Amino acid sequence: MVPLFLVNDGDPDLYAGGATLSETLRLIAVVVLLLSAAINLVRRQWALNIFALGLQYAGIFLIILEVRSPLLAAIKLIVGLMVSLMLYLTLVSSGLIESLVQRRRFSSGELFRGTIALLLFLISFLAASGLQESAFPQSSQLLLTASLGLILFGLFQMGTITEPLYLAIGLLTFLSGFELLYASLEFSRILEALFTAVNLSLALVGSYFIIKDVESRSA
Amino acid sequence: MSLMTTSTIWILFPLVLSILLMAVHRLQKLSVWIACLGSLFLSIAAFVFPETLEFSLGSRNYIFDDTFLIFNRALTLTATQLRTVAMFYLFSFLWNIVGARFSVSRWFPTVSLATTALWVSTLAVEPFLYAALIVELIVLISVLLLTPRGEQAGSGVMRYLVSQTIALPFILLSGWMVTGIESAPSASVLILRGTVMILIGFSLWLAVFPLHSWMPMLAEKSHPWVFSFIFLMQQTSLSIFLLKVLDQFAWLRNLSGVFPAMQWAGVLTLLAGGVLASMQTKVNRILAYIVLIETGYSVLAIGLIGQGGGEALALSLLPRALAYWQWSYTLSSIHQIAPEIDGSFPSLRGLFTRLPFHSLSLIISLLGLLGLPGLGLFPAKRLLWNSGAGLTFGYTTLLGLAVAGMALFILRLMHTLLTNDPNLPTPGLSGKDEESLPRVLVLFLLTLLLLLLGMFPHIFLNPFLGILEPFIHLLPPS
Repeated sequence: MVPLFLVNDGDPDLYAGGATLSETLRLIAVVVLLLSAAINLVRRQWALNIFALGLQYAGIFLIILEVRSPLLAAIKLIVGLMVSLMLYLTLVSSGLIESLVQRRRFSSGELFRGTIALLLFLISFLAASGLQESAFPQSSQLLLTASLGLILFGLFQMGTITEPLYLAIGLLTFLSGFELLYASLEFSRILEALFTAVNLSLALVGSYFIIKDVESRSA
Repeated sequence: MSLMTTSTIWILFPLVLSILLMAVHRLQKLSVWIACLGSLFLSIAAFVFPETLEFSLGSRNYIFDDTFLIFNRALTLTATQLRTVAMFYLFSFLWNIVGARFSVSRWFPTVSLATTALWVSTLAVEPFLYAALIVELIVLISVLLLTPRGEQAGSGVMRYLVSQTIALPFILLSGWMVTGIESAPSASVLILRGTVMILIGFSLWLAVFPLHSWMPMLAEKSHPWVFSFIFLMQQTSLSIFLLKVLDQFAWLRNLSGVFPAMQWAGVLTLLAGGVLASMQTKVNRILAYIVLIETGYSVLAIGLIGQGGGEALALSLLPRALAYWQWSYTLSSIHQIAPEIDGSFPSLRGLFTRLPFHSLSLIISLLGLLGLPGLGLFPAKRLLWNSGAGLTFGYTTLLGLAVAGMALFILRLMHTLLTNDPNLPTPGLSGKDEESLPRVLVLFLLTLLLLLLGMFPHIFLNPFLGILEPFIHLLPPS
């Protein structure tokens, strides 16, 4: 079980979660989560990226169960799936989506980003314990690994990409990582509501940018 | 949950109004009028609202609460904050009243009203660091206006979004990190971490040098009217929010080195703005450097809070807004009259002979922002120059260089506006045809207003000192 030390908003009904998943299952969830983020960083295949984004939110749901009740954790999952669906529908309506199973050879850029992803993967696993000792003793190491990994993948995605879809995915990944970390530190309903609003607005902005991109190309 | 609160009037009501405006956004005149009248009403109401928060209407007595509870958290808007609220809605009114004249987005009235209400909520939300998420929401709403019509989102707007999003964790984590720090004064490492995080967060938000690279890109692509409104609101609100952070966190304001760090950040930012402005050849991008310079002055003012910086900040808010208004109005008007002018220096050559009043207005607004004696920003800038120079000689030199850089740009712009292209025939004085009387009147009235603010600051600007009243720890009442 993971020790909990949460600042909450004083609600007596608050159920802060209970680390109900076994350690192995949580480790698998972290690996799946980081692999999804890595796919989004490396591959440039929109259908696959949206699928990986959805999978990423499923991983977040499993990890956040450690510090949130299943009901509250489910909100994050639902919001995440809504965000993925919103981006998917935008891509479908713009006629730019390709098949999920389409095979394409790896480009040199993808190989480079793959190496970076491997590096980020390692950093996330290696730095988590140090981070736990020095700054976040109340957060579990696996949660910190997932959080740090998402933040790093998100930052790298934002820094290297100017395509609207990947910018949106980068921002969402970065924010998810931070949300995961912050969930282990503080609980507040208004904060949860604001995070939900920010995620949905981000998806809207991403969709808006994609539509504008398509419109300007066709013009 | 009582709805008879100040937050209901100045946050929830305008938010509901902006949602209603979404439904009628296609009827541009109607939505502009609703946004204008709504903003004006909210500004006047905030200005005249009694300090006791109660008033009588006929035989009935209405008592308002300053706290609105939501999800166990509070939105607290006290009587002392209402001056700031009045100013925000005044800005919203000023930008909406002529916004429809220019080809800005039809969403401008809706978005401007919603973002104004959200900026007010950043000052009201408790715990106040939750405002970081509201700022993120404002940024996400604002980017809808900042992307030009029919064009793809440029790298400027994307970088803006990224930098503002990265600021969010710094602000939120700093708040958590220093929870209960007052009871553990020896935890200096935590204090240092919290301080660094807050300063980085604000630097990203305010685009302090060297984190400003996205700003000129954004200014070049966005409509000047939209850009000036969004960044005036952001700059003003975040400066006041920074004052609030310093006021609330004793550990932050008592840490040695915080105020000198802000002074240096301010001086270097305005130096960067001045030097980069001096080399510019596109007036569209200049608005970004103007915002950068004014951010530098704001940060410097907060850094000099013990030497009259607070007063300088409060005195600068209205004249700065009017100078932004004049610059963006003139530039938007020029684009409308002569769409072939793309803002580059070659396209502006000899403009004085064609649009003399607009050319003069461009120069006057820049001189006002430079801090020329007799114009609105002079009293505030004089205070800062004197306080800064009194502290260290290094500031004097750097401030001088920054002002010189901006002055050099003004001289280059004047030269461009007055000199005709030798390869083209000299245009005649056709200003009478192209500069309509209402436009000239607006420019004249605005110049007059800036002159009045500069000549009689004690009449027009002293009421703005009331903005500092809520910060009783940072600026104890004498």
